[in-house]
Amino acid sequence: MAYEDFTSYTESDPNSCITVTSSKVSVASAQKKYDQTYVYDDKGLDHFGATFTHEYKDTWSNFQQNELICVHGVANTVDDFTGWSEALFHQHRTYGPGQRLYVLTSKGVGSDESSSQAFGGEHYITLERTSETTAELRAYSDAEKTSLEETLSVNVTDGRRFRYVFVCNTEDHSWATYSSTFDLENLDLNEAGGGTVEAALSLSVVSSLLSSAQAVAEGNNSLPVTASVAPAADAIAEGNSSFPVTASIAPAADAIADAAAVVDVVNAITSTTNAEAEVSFSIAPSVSTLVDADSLAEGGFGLGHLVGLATIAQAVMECGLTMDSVHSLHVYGEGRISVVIVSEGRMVTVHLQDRHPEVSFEDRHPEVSFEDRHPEVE
Amino acid sequence: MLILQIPSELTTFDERLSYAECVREKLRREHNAMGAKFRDGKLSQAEWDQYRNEVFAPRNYATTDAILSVRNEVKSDARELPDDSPAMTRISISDVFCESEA
Repeated sequence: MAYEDFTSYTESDPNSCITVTSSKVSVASAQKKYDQTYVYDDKGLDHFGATFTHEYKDTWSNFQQNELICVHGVANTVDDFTGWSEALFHQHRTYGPGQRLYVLTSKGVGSDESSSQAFGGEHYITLERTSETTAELRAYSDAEKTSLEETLSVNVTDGRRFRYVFVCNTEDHSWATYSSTFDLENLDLNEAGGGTVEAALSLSVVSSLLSSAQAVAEGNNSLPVTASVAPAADAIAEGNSSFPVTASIAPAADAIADAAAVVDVVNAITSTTNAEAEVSFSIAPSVSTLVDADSLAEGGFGLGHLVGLATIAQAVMECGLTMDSVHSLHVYGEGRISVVIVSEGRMVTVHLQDRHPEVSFEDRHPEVSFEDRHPEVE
Repeated sequence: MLILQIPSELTTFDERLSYAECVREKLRREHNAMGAKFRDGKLSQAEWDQYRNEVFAPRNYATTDAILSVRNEVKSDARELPDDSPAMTRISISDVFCESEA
C-alpha cells in the first residue's frame, strides 16, 4: 500500500470548505456553485496511461438534495469539472430524498449511474481503467473488498492519457447552493513513487549498498550507510562524469533513513550468490537512470548487479514495453530475477532467467514472460 | 481474453443489455458469496486471491466489455436513424420532458 500524501497536493479552496491531512481530504458543505474548488496533483504529461487502478475510501456523510460533486478523478486541465474536456471521474449525485447515487463519468464520452440509490456512509472504491477503451468503478462495503455493491462502466477514448489527479472538484454551477460533504482517504494509485512507498530506494542508494555489500564480503563489516553519494563520486573520479549525481541523491536521503530497508537491501545483495535466498526491495529509478547505471558500471565500478539492473531496463524496452519506473526487484539465488515495473500506469512483472553480467544482452533472456495486471505487488 | 457470449436468440438491444446486466449481477452475488466464505475462514487468503484475480476479474472485464458494446450499438443505431424513421417521428422533443416530483 502506498497512499498519496495529500499535503504535497495543490489545494484551491476559495470558500474554505476543504481540510487536507496527509491521508485524508475532508470536504464540508461544498456548494455546486463554487468555482475552482479542488485538490490536485500534477503527475506529468500522459502519466495515467492505458490502464491504471486507483483505490480509496469514500465517506459520504451528508445528503442534500440535488448535490453533484466530483469525488476523485483524472483530467488534463486544472479547472472545475464543468471546464474539463478530457477526464475520468467519480461523482456523488443526489436527486430526491434518499436518492444517493454514484456516477462514473468519462467526460465527452458517457457516464454510468449506480442502480442502487442508497449510497452513503463508508464505501471502498476501486476506479480502474481496465483497457484503452473501458473503465470501471467498483464500490465495496468493506475494507477487505469482499462485498461488492456496485459496478459502473464507461468507455474511454482510445489513446487518451491523463495528467492530473484530483480529489474533490466542484461544478461551478451558475447559482445552485446545494452542498456536498464527504471524506476521501487512503488514496492508493497503485504505482511506485507514492508518498509512503516502503523502502523506496534510489539507484544511488542501491549502488552504494552494492559496494557496501562488497565491503562486507571482503571482511569489512562497517556499512557506510551514509555513503550514497560515493558511487557517483567515484565514477566521476574514474572518468565517467555523465552520471546525474544530483538527480540521484535527493531521493536517497529519504530512503536511506529507513535503516531496516537498508539492512534488507544489503542482505539481498549479499545473498544473491546463495541459493535459497529470496528477498525483495523497492527501487524507484527512471529508465534513464538505469541506463546511466550501465555507464556508471562501465565507468569503473564493474558491479555485475548494476549491469543487471541496466539489462532489465534494456530487456523491458526491447520487448516493446515502456517503463516508467521500477517498482520492485526480486533477487533469488541461482541468478534469477523478477522485476515489477510500472509500464504506462500498470504493474507488469518480468521474469528474467539469466542475468549473468558477462553474457551479452543479445544472448540472454530467451524467455521473458509477462504477467499483466499483477494483482499483488509485494 | 474472455468474452461474454450472449445467446444468439437474444436479438434486441433490450434483451442483450438485460442479459449482460444479469450476468453482472450473478457475478456480483457469486463474488460476495465467495467473499463471505473468506471472511468465515472457509477460504484461505490464497484461494480468495486466486478467485478474485483469476476468476472474477476476467469475467467482470468481459461483462463490462459486453455491456459497453451493446450501449454503443444503441447509441450508434440512434445516430444513424433518419428523421422520418418511426422511432424518430414518434418523439416530439417538446413533449417528452416533465418536471420531476423531487
